[in-house]
Amino acid sequence: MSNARGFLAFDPNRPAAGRHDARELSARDLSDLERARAGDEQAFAVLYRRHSPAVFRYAWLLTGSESAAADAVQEAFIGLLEASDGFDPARGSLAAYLCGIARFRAYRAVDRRQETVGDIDGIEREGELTPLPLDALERSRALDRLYSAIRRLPPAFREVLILVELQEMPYAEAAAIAGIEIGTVRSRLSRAKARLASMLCGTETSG
Amino acid sequence: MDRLDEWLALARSDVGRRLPDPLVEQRLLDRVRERRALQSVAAARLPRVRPALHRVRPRFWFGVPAVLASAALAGAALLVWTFSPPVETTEPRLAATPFFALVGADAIAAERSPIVVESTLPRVTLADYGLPVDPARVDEAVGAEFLLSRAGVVLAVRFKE
Repeated sequence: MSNARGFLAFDPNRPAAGRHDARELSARDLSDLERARAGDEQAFAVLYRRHSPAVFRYAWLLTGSESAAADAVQEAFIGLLEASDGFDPARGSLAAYLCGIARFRAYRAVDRRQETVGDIDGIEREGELTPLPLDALERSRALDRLYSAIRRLPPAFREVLILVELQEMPYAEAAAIAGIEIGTVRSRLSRAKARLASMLCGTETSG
Repeated sequence: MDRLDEWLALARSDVGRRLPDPLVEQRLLDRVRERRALQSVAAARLPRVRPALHRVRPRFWFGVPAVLASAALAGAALLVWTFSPPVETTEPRLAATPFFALVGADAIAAERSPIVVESTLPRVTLADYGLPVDPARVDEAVGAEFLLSRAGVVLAVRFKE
């Protein structure tokens, strides 16, 4: 069960970057953060440009709103700048910390009463997912359908799918952001994909 | 799952093109500037405090008599205050003073987009600028607005209530 990027879907050692790279990035993050907190605009800009795209995309996928995602990004970076004891490098990467704040803000922005709840137990796939259309307009419609289906997933499944599949984060980092065990990330991802496929086939049963 | 992976790959490439509004970065950079300005204000205020602390420490030996004398004076002041008629304070209410320049006028004129940062200062600071200080309120803070350059240099200050 390999995916388009050549990773095994449940490879426990699936890293987004080598450990050495991660350590180097973490050291650069810390140095830039220290300078930014001392008022160095340049250092802050570097830090922002390094991490804001991923934080924004994550918040956008969670909320479906660009303005809510932009607010989440802004609040995440303000939190980083002003809560001097908030980020602890021993507990995870800066990217995970920022996504964690954005997640909290994004969930606050979403009307949780409209969240889909339930599980995928009992879902049976009768149809087959259609191939992606070649026409640009049709592809754009297909994407809208996909995003709509992702947003209708139960929150616990949705965020794991976004972090691992769309943000390409390592399981460990996704687990840190979602506050769950790595094993739970794996099982939720598997169920999220099954449910998503079912929704896109149009054979979803109410969970 | 292969087809789902194709759909997800399409979403990944679409999501990868999405970026936050540049205004967010601008707003955050403004925040960094304000933060630096506040830090430079705090740093500018430190030198006034530190020498005073150094001067006090070697004179510890007459701390006890000084405390006794202060207590006696405070007692006397309390008696006078208790039995004296109420007196109106002499310090005029400050709405806001003009700005007092702390650097040359050229430097202020050259600053195209200065920032105003609000803070407080000990009320006795008013005396440094030739302004009256009400002894009854000497322990209170007074509002201050600092005019700062984008680089964080304090250009001018004004006081307000």
